[in-house]
Amino acid sequence: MDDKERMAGLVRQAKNGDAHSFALLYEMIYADLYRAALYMLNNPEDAENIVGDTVLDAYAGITKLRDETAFRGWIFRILSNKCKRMMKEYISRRENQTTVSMDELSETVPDNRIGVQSAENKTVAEQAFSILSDEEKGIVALIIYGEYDSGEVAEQMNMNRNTVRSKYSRALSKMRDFIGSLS
Amino acid sequence: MENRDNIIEEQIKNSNEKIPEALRPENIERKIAAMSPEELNRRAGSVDIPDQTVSSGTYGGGSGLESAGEMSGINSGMGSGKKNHKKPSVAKIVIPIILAACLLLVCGIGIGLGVGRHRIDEIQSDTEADKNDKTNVTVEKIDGENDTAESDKNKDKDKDKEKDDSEKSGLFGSKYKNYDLAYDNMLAYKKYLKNQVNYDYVTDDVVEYAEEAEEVGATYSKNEATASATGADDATPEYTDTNVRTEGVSEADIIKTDGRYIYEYDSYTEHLYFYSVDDGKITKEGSVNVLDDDQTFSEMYIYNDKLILMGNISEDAASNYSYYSYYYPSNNKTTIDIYDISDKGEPKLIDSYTQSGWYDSSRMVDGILYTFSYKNFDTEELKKKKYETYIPEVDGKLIDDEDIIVQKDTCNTTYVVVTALDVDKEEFTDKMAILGGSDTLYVSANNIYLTDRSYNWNDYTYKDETKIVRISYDDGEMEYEANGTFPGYLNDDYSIDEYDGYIRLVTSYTDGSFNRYNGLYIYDMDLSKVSVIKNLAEDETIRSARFMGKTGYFVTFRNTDPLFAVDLSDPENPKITDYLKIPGFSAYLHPYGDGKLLGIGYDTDEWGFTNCLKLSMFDISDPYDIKEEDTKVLYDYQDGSVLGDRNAFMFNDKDGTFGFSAYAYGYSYIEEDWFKETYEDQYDDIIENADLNKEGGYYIVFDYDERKGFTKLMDEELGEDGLYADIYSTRGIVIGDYLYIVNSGMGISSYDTDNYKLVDECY
Repeated sequence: MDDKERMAGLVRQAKNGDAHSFALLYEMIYADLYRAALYMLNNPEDAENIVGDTVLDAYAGITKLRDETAFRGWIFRILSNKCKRMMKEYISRRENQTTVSMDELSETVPDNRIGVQSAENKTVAEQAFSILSDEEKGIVALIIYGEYDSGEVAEQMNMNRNTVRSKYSRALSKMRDFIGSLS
Repeated sequence: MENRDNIIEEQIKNSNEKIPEALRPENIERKIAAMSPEELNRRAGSVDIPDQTVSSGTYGGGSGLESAGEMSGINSGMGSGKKNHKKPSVAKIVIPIILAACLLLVCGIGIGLGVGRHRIDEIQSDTEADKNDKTNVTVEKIDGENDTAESDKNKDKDKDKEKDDSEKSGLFGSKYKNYDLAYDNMLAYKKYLKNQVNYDYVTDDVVEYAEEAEEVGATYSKNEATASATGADDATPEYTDTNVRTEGVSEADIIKTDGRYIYEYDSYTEHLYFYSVDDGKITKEGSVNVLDDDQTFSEMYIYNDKLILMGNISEDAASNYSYYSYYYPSNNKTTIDIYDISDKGEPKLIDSYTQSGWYDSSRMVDGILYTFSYKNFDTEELKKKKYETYIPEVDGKLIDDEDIIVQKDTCNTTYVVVTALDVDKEEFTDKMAILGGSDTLYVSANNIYLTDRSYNWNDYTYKDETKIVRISYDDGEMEYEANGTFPGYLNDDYSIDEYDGYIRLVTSYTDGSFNRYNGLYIYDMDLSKVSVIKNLAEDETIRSARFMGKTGYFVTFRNTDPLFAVDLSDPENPKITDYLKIPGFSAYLHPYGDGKLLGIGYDTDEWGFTNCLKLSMFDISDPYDIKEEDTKVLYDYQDGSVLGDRNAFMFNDKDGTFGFSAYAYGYSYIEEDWFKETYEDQYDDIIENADLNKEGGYYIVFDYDERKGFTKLMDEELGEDGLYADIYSTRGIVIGDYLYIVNSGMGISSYDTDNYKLVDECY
């Protein structure tokens, strides 16, 4: 039995309210969920919260998952929706920074930098992700961790398939160059 | 390249992050178990959970739901599950009406029966005109209503209402036949979704192919074909216009010129910049903020003294992220803004129009703008009396009942909204909305083709067949003409072509034993099949195609590039006349003067790993003997804009020069073992020919001469630092004797086409 079939079986049981089956499903993907969130947001605390939030939403809404074999794609959709909102919030915070005083800033804006590890503590992958644009982060995270193909990303992001392919390829190349420059 | 990508992918995929304690599965399980019913309920309604009405990536295309579940029950119930290619014109009027009645009837019965009804799914195979062509697979499903989750029970009230509504319309009818049809389709779809709790997996033998012997005929009528599309607009010889699919059918692009002014949109400053150009001199004339808040730019046209700007506007942007909003109850509209540019090129707004849904694409023919958008409705909002919950609008007005087309086997909530706008008269001349998706759009000189790869809702995979709709257009009047299905799927809109009353297409498909093949199909204008050549190039898929009148060319690829030539002069009897196997493959084909075909694609190693770009010139003057006349491997470049977007290709038919932007990834890995191993065969060539340190976006221009082959005329870095230049936002335009390289947001530079030296720059 391959992963997909196993997942489908677990999804069916989870739909009947079996929390343990759901936890087993979660176990199969949580590392990828966390990595995707961490790299998209560049903030471990937010990533942790968002993964937690995603999983609870997914459990509560599992009956909405029509295709039982598509659990991974489905939960990544929830995750990326949440990440997207968070990224949007980061942007508006960043924009507000120009108008608020530094005092206010430190009190009211839990800036990206707060809670972010110093570069030495970061894995190479996390550092490599940090040089990408938000859009590129989304594309790479969905393809690598969500196991989406470029057509699926294109559909989700309302982009041209070829654009996704080229952006993905360019993002990988940026990361490759970056990793190359570290060593 | 693919190999290099694999390595970095693996590296990222296996990155070892320390995962917080709270996210350990056992802790999550505890949290789940501790959730209160209120929290469960609240979370079940989270906006972040994908809306079922729109399929997710892994569910397949956002369109093309068909003949599954509830809907197939309906189809088979009325015995019309089979597709009728022969009489589409009748289907046009009669079938929708019969269907309306049947739909209502069956819906009514369906609801009446409530629990435990059976559904039959009829899937029809490829419609070979001859024999043995039907494979009816019967799928029986037990309705899962018994197991429907708690949360669904809350919706029983709604259900009753819907029941009332549908019964009413069933009994008393309505003056809006197509509105009703659309409503009932969506309602049926909504119910179908709700019932998707239990189902059996069924594998369908979708297509059964009879073996057909291919014989290469001994006669060939001389190829009189000329290019079915050229890169430039003949009416305005002094500049190269956007490279398009069909000659005479203009396409919008991100950068446009009228020969005197160049327009580019900068998404960073959100301004439209315009420059006057004169013999290489570039003057920035100004910039205009052309967008409202929440409006985004897509592309534009220049027509006479008017600039037409295509965009999107989202009324509730606060909760709609720019590119995820597709999945939210869509309140997005396509905008068409028309500017007067007669006064020194400065755009002054004269008119604005909107139509429901996301802007997809557009075409312009003889002053009429045809605009295509996708409008999706949320079935949760569906209210029979509120037409705006299921009927798209144009300029705030509902599209008339007679202009709504519901395809008979559509199980979908997405419309393709098509409008025709007369730019001179400043009014819509026609509009229509077709319920059912579309992925590849092809517009010929007289017809619009919407094609939609079918999605199989039984096993959640793409089917190996594609639905197609033909809509004729003439001077702003559109008519729904025919629909049908063909096997396989299209690579892009070069894989389909209309010529002299026939539609020719090349598709890739999988046979019953999961072998990949390619086929060439010819249909008449009613979309009835005329002829076919199948089982071509096992295990390969089509990468590019070009039809040129009575001859067609297409490229399939796995690890070499067979370029096929096919004689189409007798549509009843097409013949493969020759094929040519060369390394690499062409991803874009462009007619190049008499008897030549330019291929732009990738050079690959023997395993099919792509390494860098490659140009090929094919001699096609004798279709029985096609030859690769010259080839040039571009060792420096790994990606070319033209391979993803034909609009990015510059072809100057005055002197045969052509150009596009390309990206150099550099060879920083040249010394690494894996690279040496992977590219063992090409390694020496790379060392000898590649500029190993070259990285970034460049614009390259070539000329071709039979004796000298390809000559590189220009190779210039884009912008001040090409490293992060976006090659896909770059266009080359020749105006008079000067080439202008325009990059959205990065300004323009001009070059003298005599020597390709920089003349002027303007940022």
